[in-house]
Amino acid sequence: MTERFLEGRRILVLEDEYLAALDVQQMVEELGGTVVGPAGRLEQARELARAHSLQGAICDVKLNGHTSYPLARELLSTGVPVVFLTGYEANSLEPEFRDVPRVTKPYDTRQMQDLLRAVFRAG
Amino acid sequence: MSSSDTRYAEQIVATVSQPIVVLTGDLEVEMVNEAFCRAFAVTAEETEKRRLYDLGNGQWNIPELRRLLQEVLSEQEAVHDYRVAHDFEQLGERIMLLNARRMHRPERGDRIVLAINDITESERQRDEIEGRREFGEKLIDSVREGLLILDWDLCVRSANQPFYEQFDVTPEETEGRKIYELGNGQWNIPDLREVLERILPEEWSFDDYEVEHDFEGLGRRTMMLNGRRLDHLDLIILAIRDVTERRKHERRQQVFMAELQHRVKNILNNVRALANQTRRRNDTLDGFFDAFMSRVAALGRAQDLLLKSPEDEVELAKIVRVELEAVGAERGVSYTADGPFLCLSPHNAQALAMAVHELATNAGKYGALKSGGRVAVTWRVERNGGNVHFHWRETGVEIDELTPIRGFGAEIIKRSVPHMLDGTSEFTLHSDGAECRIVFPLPKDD
Repeated sequence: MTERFLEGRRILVLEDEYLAALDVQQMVEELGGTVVGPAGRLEQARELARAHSLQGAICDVKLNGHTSYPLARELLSTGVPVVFLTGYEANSLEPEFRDVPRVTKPYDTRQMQDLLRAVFRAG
Repeated sequence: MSSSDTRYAEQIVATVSQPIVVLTGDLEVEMVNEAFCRAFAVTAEETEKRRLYDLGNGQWNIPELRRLLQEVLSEQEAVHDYRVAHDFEQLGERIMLLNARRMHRPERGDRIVLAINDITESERQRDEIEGRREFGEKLIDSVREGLLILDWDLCVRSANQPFYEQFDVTPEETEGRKIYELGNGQWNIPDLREVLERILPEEWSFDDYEVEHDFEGLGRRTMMLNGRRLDHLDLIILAIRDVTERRKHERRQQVFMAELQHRVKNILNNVRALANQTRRRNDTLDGFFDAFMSRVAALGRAQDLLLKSPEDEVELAKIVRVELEAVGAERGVSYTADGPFLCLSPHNAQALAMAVHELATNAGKYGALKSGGRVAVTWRVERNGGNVHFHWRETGVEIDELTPIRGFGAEIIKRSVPHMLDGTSEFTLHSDGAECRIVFPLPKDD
């Protein structure tokens, strides 16, 4: 059994593929976290972010026709850590977001858990 | 003439590099100079005191020479550049220009001085140059690329026909003008100036220099330039190739490859999620396998539909048909599908395909496609192009209990529609079969 290191953390999930969103939601919940969402659209996610206090967010970079950069920018500027889910190579990310922690799809469960622990547990 | 004058004259004649012959009035050779002997490979001894026409094998017995000596010089005192052509036995074809002068010396007898200028080589070279020039011109005109010939001041000396056609300009607008003044100043670019004014003089050539610009009359094009500086002719040749289409194609390729990679990653991620979610709801390996493979096959069918359409959009009718036929339904027999022609974006198509797959699987396991009933699928679009209304109605099913629908399939139908299509879905179980209503908006630009 994995340690529930996300206990007490509210994590926003933005992923436009329903099945993948389910996956991420279940992972966060198994680690003890509470999922805000999952949202399938950028606007929906921004509304959720405004309505809830968050300790983190997991965002798919490329949504249907646009990126999740606007949300990431907003969250990072308010000190909420973000993890990107990406199908792209790292160097096709915008320079602004090159240092945001990310996993490439399809991700390895262990790798994802380790990253979540590293990013969301502190503080 | 004094003897010192004679020696003076003799020294001059001996030094001159042109062959000189002095003939008596009877056309007997009085004197030939060293240059003559060298040029015609004879000695003074075998030449002097003999009749001109008897020399050698009669090689000087040339009709034009006879005419010069007998007719022309009888009327004129001097003749310049009189042309004589002859095939000498040992020397071959020779073309000569002769200067001839009659010296009147009533007391001692007239003399004729002939100075011979052998222009054979220079004629041959001139022909060769002419030939090369013609070759160059024809070559330049036959090349498909636009060529600009500039002098070292970067003024246009000439251009070839493909250049005029390529840029839709005339020679009048082009020749004599500085390259920077052509068209709408399209070549007046700092980078190109640097290349022409600094790099070309140093390196003598450059290749594959690209210029992207809004060209007058052509629009936005990308041109690739090769330049060569010619030393002997003080010219610069610029070859200009329009690579706009090629670059566009390359960019499209890059975009396409990135899209493809992204799509593949997404699909793999979906398969991963499918496996995960199916595993949670199936205890047995066989149970998992059947459920998992059925959904993966549906993913595959959706991809097939996407790949087949040129614009990446999928017809709703095709999605319905493909999923129903995959569970063995027959159009007109066990299902009907009616609605207007409607194409969905790749994202929406995949989302709807997933929902329809679950509906069809459900009908096959528990519903109309198991009991021999029918599935009626219809759809419509709101008049102002806003929402799509999708309706699925099964009939001919005996439902014992109107229990709320459960299972992963139901969850997918219920939750994926709002999540991915930004729409609503209602699933109702009537006494004679299941009904599902899905409403979702069309993207604004459809």
